[in-house]
Amino acid sequence: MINIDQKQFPRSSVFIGELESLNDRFIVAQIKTMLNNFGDEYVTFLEKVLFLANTSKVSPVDSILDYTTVFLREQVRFQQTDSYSHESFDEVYDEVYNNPDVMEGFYLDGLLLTQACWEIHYHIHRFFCNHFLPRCKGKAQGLEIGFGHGLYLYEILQQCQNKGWARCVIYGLDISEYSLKYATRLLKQSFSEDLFILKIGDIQNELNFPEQSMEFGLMAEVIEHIHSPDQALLRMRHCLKSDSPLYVVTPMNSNAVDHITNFQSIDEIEKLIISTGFVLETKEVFSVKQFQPESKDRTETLCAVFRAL
Amino acid sequence: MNRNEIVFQLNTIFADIFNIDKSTLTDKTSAKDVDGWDSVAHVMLITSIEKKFAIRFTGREIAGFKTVGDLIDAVEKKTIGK
Repeated sequence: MINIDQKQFPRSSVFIGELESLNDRFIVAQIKTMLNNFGDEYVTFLEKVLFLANTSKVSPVDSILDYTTVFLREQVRFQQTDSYSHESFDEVYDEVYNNPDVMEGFYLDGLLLTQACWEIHYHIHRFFCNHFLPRCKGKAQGLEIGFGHGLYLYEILQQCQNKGWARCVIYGLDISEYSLKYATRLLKQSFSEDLFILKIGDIQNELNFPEQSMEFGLMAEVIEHIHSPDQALLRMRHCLKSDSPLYVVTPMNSNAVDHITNFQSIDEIEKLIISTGFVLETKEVFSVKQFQPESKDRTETLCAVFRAL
Repeated sequence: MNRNEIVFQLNTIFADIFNIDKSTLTDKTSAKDVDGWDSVAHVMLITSIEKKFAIRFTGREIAGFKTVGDLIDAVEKKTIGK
């Protein structure tokens, strides 16, 4: 049984208690490990994620369980077929990004909650906080493609607020109107609306920002969702000033319901990004097996900060 | 479908997925008793059961299955009248 301070972490206490009552292995095992390894740092983050989640339609426990089991169903299929479930962007757009039952049902909340419930995602988030956030300086203007639930934008704005930076304007572009609605709600809980500008758009078609207008960029879990990652990276490069950092997270062998492009190796992903006008500054590669050695899940994820040439 | 038929079918699925002897399974057998019964294998088991019995489980139901007996009970409940 996991014991945490109910007064200090009320949401986490209820959430973990409900998960434990269902099964002490499924997800709970990962939460236990993160609590043991990171203590209050971890549970403070879990509490924040639960505060940010939209629990009006589906409980956080159901969101994380539905998101996790849908992902695992696809991973089982990937093990059996060695190919992703979807090849067509339009098909995924109709079934996922433009489907309120999925996006507002379990997808956005579930994906947000994985940041604190899946070890691999928690480590990726720590990488972001340790290696990319310090590169987002005061008065800078940045752009995130595929902001999804909006947690990265939240972290950047929170840093600006904590450091007393007057203005750190961030732009966000996402394909889904439901992401726009979700992330706007999430950010408005804590920040003034003039600090962020979120829009619907498709980086596969165009990116309407002036050349060299941005001082940092984010493309976290984006290029595996589209058909021509190189074109998207070139569009992002066009918007970034030279020497600006670009944060990239890209998994391989990870058959999420909306992934259409798989990569043969982490090296292939790195070379692709470098070929579009970036140099690698720092990286870590995280795999499910690293955290669960017995797992048959072959997911590996490149987590890196590149610099625009 | 009666309980004995469900037990027979489930044991066959378990034996196929975990490469184990059917006779070692009891209602109380849980993930900690079977090598390789991790979260991916758990969902592989569930999808095989769903396919075999033409039923569907929710995320909460899937997470709640702790033992072979839990699975038998759930399949029995979902297949009443089939």
